[in-house]
Order: sequence, then structure tokens, then C-alpha cells
Amino acid sequence: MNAWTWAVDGWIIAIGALSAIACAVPGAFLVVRRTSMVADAISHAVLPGIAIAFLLSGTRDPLFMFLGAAAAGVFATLASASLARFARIDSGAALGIVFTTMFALGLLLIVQVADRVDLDPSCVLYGAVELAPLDSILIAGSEIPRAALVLGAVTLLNIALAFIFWKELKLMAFDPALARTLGCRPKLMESIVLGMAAATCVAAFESVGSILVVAMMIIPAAAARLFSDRLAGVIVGAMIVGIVGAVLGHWVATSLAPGLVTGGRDASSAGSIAATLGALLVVCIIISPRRGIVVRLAHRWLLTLRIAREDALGLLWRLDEDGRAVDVAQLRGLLVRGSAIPNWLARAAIARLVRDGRVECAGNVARLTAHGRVEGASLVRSHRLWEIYLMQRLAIAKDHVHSTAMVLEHITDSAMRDKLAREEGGVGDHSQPLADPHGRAVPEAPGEK
Amino acid sequence: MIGLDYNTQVVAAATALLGGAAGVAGCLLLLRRRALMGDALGHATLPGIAAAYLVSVAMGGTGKEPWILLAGAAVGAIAGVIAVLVIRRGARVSDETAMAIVLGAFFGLGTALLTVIQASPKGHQAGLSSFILGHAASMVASDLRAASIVALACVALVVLLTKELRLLCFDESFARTIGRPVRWLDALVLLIVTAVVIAGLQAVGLILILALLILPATAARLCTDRFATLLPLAAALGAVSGVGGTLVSSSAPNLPTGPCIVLFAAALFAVALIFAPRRGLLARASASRVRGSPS
Repeated sequence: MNAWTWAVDGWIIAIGALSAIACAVPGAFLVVRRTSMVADAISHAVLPGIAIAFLLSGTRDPLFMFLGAAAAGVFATLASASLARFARIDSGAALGIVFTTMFALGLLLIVQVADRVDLDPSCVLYGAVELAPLDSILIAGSEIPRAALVLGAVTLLNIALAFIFWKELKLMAFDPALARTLGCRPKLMESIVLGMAAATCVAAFESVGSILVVAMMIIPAAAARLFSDRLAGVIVGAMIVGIVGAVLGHWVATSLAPGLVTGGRDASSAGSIAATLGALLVVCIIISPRRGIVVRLAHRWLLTLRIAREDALGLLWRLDEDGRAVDVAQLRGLLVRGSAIPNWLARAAIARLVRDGRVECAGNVARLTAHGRVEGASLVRSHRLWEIYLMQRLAIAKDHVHSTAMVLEHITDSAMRDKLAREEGGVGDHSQPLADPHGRAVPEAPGEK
Repeated sequence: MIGLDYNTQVVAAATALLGGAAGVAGCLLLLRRRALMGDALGHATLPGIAAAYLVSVAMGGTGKEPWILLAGAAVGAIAGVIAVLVIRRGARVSDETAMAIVLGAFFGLGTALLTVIQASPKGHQAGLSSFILGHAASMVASDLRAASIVALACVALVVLLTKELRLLCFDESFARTIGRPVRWLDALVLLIVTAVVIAGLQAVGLILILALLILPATAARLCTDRFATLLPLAAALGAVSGVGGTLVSSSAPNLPTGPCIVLFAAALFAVALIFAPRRGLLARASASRVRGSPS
């Protein structure tokens, strides 16, 4: 457990947060456009760019490295796009071919120059965000890490581009065909997005490593996508998730991991941030308000409970029709068998009906209240109208209509019941009350014809 | 391979077998339009390897037993595949996005564990980072045996199930309609790919294994439209890349084997891209000249 020193840890977090903000803009577009692996391709393809820049310039000047890497990143996206188009190769395969070949070339080149300069391929992969604060430039009296400056510049560039081309980019992200029809120059917009992605990858990989760039670009945007359907929402959400991931990940690397598994040694911050982002995404998948697992399970549970409740009401109404009285335990047994639901669900459904004042227990006998009787009648009415409809209109055999009607009765509202009653009322003999295929009268529902 | 030293012979034989198996597995991935799954799988092995090392050391082992590390790699890869499927459903994102997510998060976790291991007293000798970029020169006879087992098993499985796999690749919905176990076949494809990835870790490393999977397969796909020709052709191209790359790398110092194999495969791909009989650039250029000539 090491206490954080703000001159070091503060800058590490700032650099992580800055790369999150810079990555959010192109990341949102890549996720929405479903071309996320472009980030992976660019981040691997920069290796030969760096090596060639070194071979040509003979120095480790960061400017040359940056230019070489950016050129390689742009080349990789263009090459894989044209390979996919002209050789008609699956776009994923084209991407994979280009970036692995470039990565192999980069490895080979780096080994050639390794005895002259310290270019370490693993540095490109993992980055060394821990060392980034050491490489600083004096500006206006304060030491600012070069990585923070570069990332800040790229962040401003990305945000500026997003503001200038907002309408076009948004249209292109969701409907490229319409964008082309309206003359939004989708090719140019596509290049702007890929250019942003390449510049951001290159700016970020030096400090946080190429794999973290992929994680930073894609995971926050995918997480934000769970909370928003608007492009602006996805971008801002991605920034927030990325910043939270940077802070939390650095804390995991320096405080949690040393305390738990590593016996006092810090884990890699970049790696921990990437893994933390993955964990954050899992949390988002669970708690997302509209698509989250919790919400979906809750919906399903509420629906199951509602159906069980309605089945219990219908059951009691039918028992009443036959003049049979049952106690709560018998009702539960009938419900379990009739609706094929577990005992605890039947118990919960009946308890809820009693609490809502739809069912009352007089002595030991379960009875519908006035309110419950109205609802039970509506349900049975729906059920029997559907049975008539299924048999007469769809020619389904008499002994097969019950189970389908059991399903349909739960999604039938009063307007639908009226329509069904009008349809079927016109078919048969008007002097008789409507009767279902099993000869039972369709109950009248108050307020409905 | 007469005239080569024993070491190079072993490496060449092992990489040829691996290249062949990767070619076959790559065809299945390519036809299922999941080429980049190989990348997600490869990166997902790293946390498995690192965790296996930590477990082995914690239980009093040296952490260097290859079987334990490879078992860890397999667990990592399978966890990665499951994570891709779960995230695709849970987060409603595309296949590609799910792969990028898994790749980033798993590799990040692996990196974090690796830095911890390398900082530990014996960790810097563990040599785990050689799995990332590969270290073919260190392959010995037992690695050759492992490679041949994997290659034989993959080829045997694919040959046995050719009809089913062909159906899966070309008409999934028809396969489902006539009652083929599409889910299990899909899982089998991913299992074969996992086996190849793990067998290839030592030779080319977890990043470049993707190249070995898709370069021969794509090159073969450019040359033929027939499944029965595609598989052996891809296997042959993969095997040739293995041998060729090893020979190139042994011809001069400072030429690491993994990148050499990949670049050899890329060169074969480039040849196929230009000269393939019907889909090659030359053939298509001449075809369009004939069509486009003014009458």
C-alpha cells in the first residue's frame, strides 16, 4: 500500500483521464459504426511506422516517431479498406491481414535497430504510464508531462472536429446511405473518423500502450451505449466511464493489487485500467436502466407475477361460477396445477391479491371481493371470446383452443374485448347469450357490450 | 531439410505442422466471418498464462511447467470466447465490438499480472513474456510432439466432420433447419481455433497467431471456391509458410522466427492476390478490359 503522491499519481490519473476524453469521440463513432477492431489494427500497425521513422531520421525525436506512427496508422486503415474492396475479402480478415503483417514487419525492423537504440516492442504494447510524469516540459513555470500535452492537443482537435462536422458525422454514424444521398460526403467523414482514431491511438499508445488504447476507445463507448441512444450522450458517457476507469484502475494497481495479491508491489497501471474498464462494462451491463440484466429480470419477474395473479382471479371466478368454495391451500394447489407454476409463485400471487383487496379470506374460504369479481369476469370474458374466435375464425379444434386462450387473455384489453365480442356477436344467434366452445356463457363485463 | 542443424529441423517441422493446422482452422473462421476472433482468443490467453503461473508458484511449483501454463492459456481463451458471447448479448453490441472489448480487458488484466510476476524475485526468469511475441528458436522435440498432436487432432476432426462444417459455413440456417447441431459445431470450430492458438503461442506468439490463422486461409480462398480444395490448399500454404519462414530466419542472425513466418505467409498471400486464377488482380484487370473494350 503506497500513499499517492500527487506529483506522480495525479499526473498518471490525469494522463489516463485525458486519453479517456480523447478516445471518447472516435470511440463512440467506431462502436456505433460497428468497426471497433479498427482501433486494434491501428494500435498494432504503428510499430513499423516508429521503426521506419527511426531508420530514416536516425534519432528518437518524439516528433518523428509521432509522424511515423500516424502515417502507419492511416496506411493500415486505407490498405485494409482497399484490400476489402478490391480483393473482395471480408473486412475483418482484411484488417487482420494488414495489421498483423505490419506488426511482424515492425518486430523485424526493431530487432535490426535494437543494438543501436532502446526501442522495446513491449513498451509499445503495455506503455509505461508510470514513467510518463518523468518526461516533462517546463511551461509557464510548471513541469507538465509531454504525454499530457500531446493528449491534450489531440483531445482539443477531436472535440473541435466533432463540433465542426457534428451533423454530418452523426448522420454518417447512423445512416450512411442517407448521408450519401444528402451529399454529406460520407467518404470524407469516414476519413475524418479514421484520422481521429489514428491520431488518438498514436498520441495515447506512447503513454498508455496500444492495448489500453483499444480498451479506452471501445469499452467506455460500449458501456455508454447502454445508457444512451444519442450520439452526444454516448460520447459524454464514454468520457465519464473512461475517467472513472482511469481513477479506479490506478487505485487498483497501486492500492488494491499490492494489498491483495502482489505483496506490496504495484501492478501495471495501464493494464489495470484496461481490466477495470472491462469490469465497469460488466457492471453497466448489469445495472443499465433500459437494457440491464437487473431491469430485464425485474420486468420478467413482474410479468410472471402478474400472469399468476390474473390466473388466480380467473380460477376463483370459474370456481364461483360452479358454486364451489375452496380454502387458500386448495386454491394454491389448483393454481399450481392449472398454470404449471411453482408453489412459491402461486403463494406470492395469492398473497398479493389479498393485500390488494381483490381476494378476501372469510373464515378459511377464499372469495373474490367485488373489485376482484369485476377483474375475474373480464379475464374469463377475454378467455372465452378468444376461444370462440380461435375456433370459428381460425378453425382450431375445440380441445386445442384453451391453452392459446390462456396466453392471449393476459394481453387483451377492454377495447380488444369489445371488438372480439362485436365480431362473434354477429356470427351466431342473437337471442342467446354468447357461449364458448365448451358451452359456457361468456360473462358480461361491466361497462362493456 | 538435409544440411540443416537438428534445431532448425525441429523448429521447421513444428512450425510446418502448426501452419497447416492454422490454415485449416483459419478457413473455418474466415468462412464463418469471424476472422478477428483469432485475435481476441490470442490476447485472452495472457491472463490465463499469468494466473496459471501464480497458482503454480503458490502451490509450490516452479511455475515453468509448460502443461500448466498451456492449460492456463486454454482456460483464458475459453473464458475469452464466453465473454465475447456474453457481452454481445448483454451489451447488444456487434461481434467486432465484443471482440475488441474482450481483447482490451483481458490483455490488460494479463499485463497487470505480468508486471506483478516480473517484479517478484524469480519472476523475471519466468519467460512468460515470450508467449506474447513468440520464441520459436527455443522449441524442442517435446514441442514438436505437441504440435503434431494438435495438428493431427484438428485435421482429423475437420475431415470427420467435413460435411457438417461445410454446411455450417455456407448455409447456417439450412443446417439448422435439417437439424444439425449448429451451436455445437460452432463451439467445435472455436475449440479447434483455441487449440491452434495455444499450440502456436510458443512459435509466433499471441499477437501474430492471428496472421497464421487468416493469411493462408484468405490466400487459398482467393484461389478456389471449393471447400474440398480450400482446406488442403490453406493447410499447404500454412505449412510452406512455417518451413519458409524458419529457413529465412535461420539464414541470418537477428531474424526472429515468428515475424519471418508471418511475412513469408504475407508474401504468399500477395502472390495469390495478384496471380490467383479468377479473383486475382491480374485476372480481374484483364477480364474487365475485355468486358469494357468498345465494340
